Amino acid sequence: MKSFALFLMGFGMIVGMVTVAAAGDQDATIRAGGSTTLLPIMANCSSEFMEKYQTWDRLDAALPKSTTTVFVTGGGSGFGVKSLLSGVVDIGMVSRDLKDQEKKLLGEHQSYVVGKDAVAIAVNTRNPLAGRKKAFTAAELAAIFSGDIKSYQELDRSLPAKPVVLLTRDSGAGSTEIFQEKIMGEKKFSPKALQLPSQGALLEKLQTNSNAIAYISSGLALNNKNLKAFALENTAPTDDNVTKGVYPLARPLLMVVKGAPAPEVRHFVNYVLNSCQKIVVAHGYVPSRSVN
Amino acid sequence: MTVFSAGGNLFARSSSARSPFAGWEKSFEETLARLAFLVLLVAGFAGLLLALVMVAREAYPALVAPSGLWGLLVADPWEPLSQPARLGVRHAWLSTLAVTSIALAVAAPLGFGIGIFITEIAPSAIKKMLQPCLELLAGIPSVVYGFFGYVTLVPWFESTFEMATGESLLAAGLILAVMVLPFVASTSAEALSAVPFDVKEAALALGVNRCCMTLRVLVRHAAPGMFAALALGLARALGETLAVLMLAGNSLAVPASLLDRGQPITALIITELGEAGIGSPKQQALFAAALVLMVVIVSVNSVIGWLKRRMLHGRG
Repeated sequence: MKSFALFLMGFGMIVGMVTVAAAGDQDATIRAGGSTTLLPIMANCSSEFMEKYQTWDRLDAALPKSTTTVFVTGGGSGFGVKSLLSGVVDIGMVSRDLKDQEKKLLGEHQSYVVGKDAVAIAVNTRNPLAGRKKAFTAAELAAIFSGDIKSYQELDRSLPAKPVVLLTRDSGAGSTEIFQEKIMGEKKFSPKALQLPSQGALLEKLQTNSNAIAYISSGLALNNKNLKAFALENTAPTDDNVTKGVYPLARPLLMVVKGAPAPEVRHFVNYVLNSCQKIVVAHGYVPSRSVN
Repeated sequence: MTVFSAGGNLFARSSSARSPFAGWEKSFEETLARLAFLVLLVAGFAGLLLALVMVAREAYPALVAPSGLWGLLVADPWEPLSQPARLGVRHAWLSTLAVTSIALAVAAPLGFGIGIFITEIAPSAIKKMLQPCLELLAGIPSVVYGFFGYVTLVPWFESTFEMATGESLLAAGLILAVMVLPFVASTSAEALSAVPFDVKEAALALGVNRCCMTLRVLVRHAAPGMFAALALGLARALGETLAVLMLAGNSLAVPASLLDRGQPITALIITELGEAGIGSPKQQALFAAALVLMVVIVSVNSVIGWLKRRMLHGRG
């Protein structure tokens, strides 16, 4: 409670400071805002960018000699598109495909894929399913996560009658959003499911509980020897399948720019798409191009 | 709120002996000091009031929505993703009620017992050791308690009760009891040691044995202070967030037993607020949940304050 209040205070102060700083030199400030999934990536990337190129003319002699400022804020994907439309931000951060309605409103626009967020279905290696099953169908998953299937025996008669413990993220999380849209459809998540507040907490719980099944960032599931990730409709959640767009439980992480990008914005976008791919990987997402 | 009422009580006691301003000379410094304290007092109260007004203002749309207070507290489940979103917090206040009750049911007798032990039974060497220990316990951050419960109680519940996963209201309530205990114990010890010595002397002079004197004279005399201890513990239990978030399971189902998972109001707010859009119905519902929590804390404190005053008055 206390730490949250402190965090809010600190956050407020930073926003205030950045806003004041931004008001100082309007012309050379880039504002990016939207998806909270992209927020940590973009925040890290922009501070790296600002550290590396202190003034704009170091990037390109034609640019002004003012301080490089990139202001990144959260707010959610919808907020990102809205602020892009109203001109509050130069780069809208959107962690899903743009809707047709949004594309129409934006008119001429560019969208850049920073990376992809894929969700894998995973269990602990001690889970009864670990040795038995290789792939799930969407219908099976919907039945499990809506609570229709309550024990492993109901899924397969030869499995023990242990209860299925469902691990989910909270309703605001991006992974929950994809899972709801692509797997659950009209069905609702079982209210008995444990809602973990972060991917880290989810990973921790999944590693220690042998009855649990979860949807978790594919990067975390594949790189962990205590976990077993399943294929969905016979497609494994590998980086390759995600990048190619074959694995269904994935969504793009986008930067959207309205109209033709200004030179400063173009430089920053290039920096994100190239130098920041390692940050994308570090956060457990699938990069848009291979990183070496 | 609690701290205020407890402090007020102490002040009232000392002021009955002499006027609080008796030693003050009428001077420029005095006026200045009075003014400064007045400003601080007003600022403090204004801050408190402002928080209350802000929460109420944000919560107002959720309270007058078509589903209204009934929907919010009783009828609706928490389903922010369904169309249209249903934003009821019945599972949350039931969970809060459950964990707080468990915590106080465990911490009150233990805490009072420790209080009596410190003031009446313990030799002074142990007393000197116990009191700093309690203060230390009170100072441990709640995430530490939460983690401790997560690595001890949760696996223990899994093996003992053969639960699929050990997070439950009981686990959260027990850890909460440990967190509340130092507050209850040290405040009640303070209240017990504040009982005037002549009261004790009079009782012992009548030939009453020590056990009877403690339980029937001392505890009675210190009851208002011990109530304050309970109120302090209650406020702490109601407001605790991190430990219950980690241990209660954070599930949206309405809990039916103490071994069920649940999501106390504080856990609901911290889980959902980060992603709630500003001015969205979800945010308003969360503020309404916070308002429920505030109203409960204020009313419980008022009831305890009223009981305290009645006891003091009844004793004359």
